[in-house]
Amino acid sequence: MRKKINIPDPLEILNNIVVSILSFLSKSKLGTSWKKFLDWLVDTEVYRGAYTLRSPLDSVGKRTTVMKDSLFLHFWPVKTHRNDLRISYHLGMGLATTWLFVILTITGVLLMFYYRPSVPQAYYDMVDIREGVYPFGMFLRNMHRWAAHGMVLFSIIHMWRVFNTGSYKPPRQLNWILGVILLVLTLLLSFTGYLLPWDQLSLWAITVGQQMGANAPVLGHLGPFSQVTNLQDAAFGLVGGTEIGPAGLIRFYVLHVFFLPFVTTILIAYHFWRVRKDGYSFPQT
Amino acid sequence: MEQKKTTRRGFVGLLVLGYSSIALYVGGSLVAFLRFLFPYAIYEPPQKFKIGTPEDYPVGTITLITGRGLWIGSYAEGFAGIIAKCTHLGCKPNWFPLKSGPFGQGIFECPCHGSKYDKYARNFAGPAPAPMRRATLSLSPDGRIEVDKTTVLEPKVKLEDGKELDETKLAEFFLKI
Repeated sequence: MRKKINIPDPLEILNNIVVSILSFLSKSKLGTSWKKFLDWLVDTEVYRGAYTLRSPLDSVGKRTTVMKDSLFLHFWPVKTHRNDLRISYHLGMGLATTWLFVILTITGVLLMFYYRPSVPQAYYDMVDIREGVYPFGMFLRNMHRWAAHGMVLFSIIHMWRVFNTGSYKPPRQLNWILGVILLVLTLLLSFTGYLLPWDQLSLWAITVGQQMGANAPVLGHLGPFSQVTNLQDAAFGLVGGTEIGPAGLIRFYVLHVFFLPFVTTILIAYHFWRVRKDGYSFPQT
Repeated sequence: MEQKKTTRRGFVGLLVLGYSSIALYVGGSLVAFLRFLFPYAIYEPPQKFKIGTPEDYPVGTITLITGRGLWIGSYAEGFAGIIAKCTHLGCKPNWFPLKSGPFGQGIFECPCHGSKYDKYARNFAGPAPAPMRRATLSLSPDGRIEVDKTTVLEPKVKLEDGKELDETKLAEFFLKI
């Protein structure tokens, strides 16, 4: 016999949490003033504008409206398939990857306060961050590094899961393509970040990458059907010279801290939106 | 006031004109942005330069020209300008005069993936698919050796274990004084 799964209402969960915290607080004196503050807060135009939670949620229609109208609550769809709520089904890898991207953005912006992308300073700034000149510097740098490794790993596991559950099938074809582009962007972010410590490892690793550009068909000066010289090819466009130097460092920096994250953020948002709007690849049971 | 009449044909014409000017604007901007990444001048050492007289390089030595990515190999057969770039993936191999391989003493070794070359920069081990490339050398009128890195020679002489060393195959790649 089929077991019935009771799907929890996300809004109900949220409501229960708020109510239990409130009832705990209301027993104390602090709680009374807190309750007064909350009453005032709920009555402000800002809160009402953001959540539209004023009317009692006594019908499905009203709940639906609340969910649809709030940016934060509509991360969950109005109705969802039970597989969406089973972590053993979706593994939560897409969410994990997104969180790593958020961690990378925050730690990356903090590292930018001390890192200068120029040849005399880059390596020593990195060493200063790593060796404890700045409080939590080593921690933040390592967080950035491990989160970057994790983002690559988790996005691959995410793709593996999507493949195995057949979630790439119609109507979600476009989202699979977006996912592939996002994987490429993740790898490019890792690749561009690799040069920034400006040590021997990064220099020669990027040299290998540069050679790939030089050996690209048509657009690389060493590749098959080459149409360009070594001053016009893909490798030159990437590195800004015939070998990796100051121009290459600043190019990789700009790609790493602005261009690629910008494109990635937009695509992640679109990817999410499609997840909610596309419907499900498996038959509804 | 008389109202000007727009025909359907005229409207479509205006539409085409409007959209093509937008396309031209966006496309032109993209081309300009791309072109912006390829400067008119780059601050790199020149590709043609002089490296001193032949007497500076005694026979049997391999000398690194610092900052130019070039070795000058001086052999009994003549001089060779070896471009210090592994043919595998472009790292800079190191010269070890005291290490010896199956093709005599002195080998080049690439730190990235372990390709090995003999003293004539011919690959004999590791992933390197070809010998290192050669810059063109010439003797300038003032008696100094001139290097031209824009004209690159590719000696297609592959070494395999057990074969005899045959320098005559390399003859055309040496500068003879």
